[in-house]
Amino acid sequence: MIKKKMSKFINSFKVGDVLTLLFFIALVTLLFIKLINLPEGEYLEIETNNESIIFNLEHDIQKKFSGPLGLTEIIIHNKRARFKESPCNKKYCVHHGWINKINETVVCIPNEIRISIIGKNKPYDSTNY
Amino acid sequence: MTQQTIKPTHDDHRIAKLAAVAIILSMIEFFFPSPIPGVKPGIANIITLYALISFNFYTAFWVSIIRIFISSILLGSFLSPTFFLSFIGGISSLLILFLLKNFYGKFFGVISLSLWASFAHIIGQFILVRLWIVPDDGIYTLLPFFLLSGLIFGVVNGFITFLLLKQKK
Repeated sequence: MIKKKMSKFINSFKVGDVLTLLFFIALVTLLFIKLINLPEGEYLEIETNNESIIFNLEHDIQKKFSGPLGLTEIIIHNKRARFKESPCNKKYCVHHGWINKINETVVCIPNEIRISIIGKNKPYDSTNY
Repeated sequence: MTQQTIKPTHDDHRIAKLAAVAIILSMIEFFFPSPIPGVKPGIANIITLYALISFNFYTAFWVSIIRIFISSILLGSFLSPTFFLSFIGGISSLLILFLLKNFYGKFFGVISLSLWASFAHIIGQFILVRLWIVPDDGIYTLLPFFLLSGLIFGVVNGFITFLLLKQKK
């Protein structure tokens, strides 16, 4: 029953329908491929409630940053970065794991710390000034 | 005796009936849990498409606008960001439907109108979100997922509209 209606529906397709369908399938596929192949970043920006520091991902570091709740530990290893330890309750930031692609961001809202990966030239926005 | 100064025309009655159905579909959709936040099938748009194809753009326009206003008032989201998102989505789809309506039947069928409207809906919402609600480039990560859902539900809604139009004949 439904199969018959489906085939009737497909038979009613016009040239533009096929083109539209193909165009949108291609567009979605392309966007997904682009999403998977995002370029890897060069720097890590760590933003705490009163300062913003940029580290090069080339060098491994393991540092503690203070927030309203206590000390959060952030590590850089093998050109990737992650929250190692956090004093917050739910630990979403720690469970997020590693990040290494441009614009990837992890935020720990309770402890007010944000880390994000940035590329070679950081595009300026209004918060830079 | 009170005099009726505004006489509702036959068109007005038809718009009211179609808008009522669209509002009910919006309500049903609202009470269904969505697996991914923000992804909704948009079944109310079936009525907009149906109105456009079986009547005219004027009917489709008013059905869509009335549906957006009334369902947001009923759900308590009137003038909240949710309302503006659905409003901008509705306006974007109507705009693309207005541009494409003359090609219907010659070059495009139901499914194309449905797909273009659903994509315009998503793109319009993304522009508004980028400009106003979340002014950060990070939201583009979500774009492929929303467009994929737009593709799936665009085809499904197109199919349902096709069945509705067939039934009418």
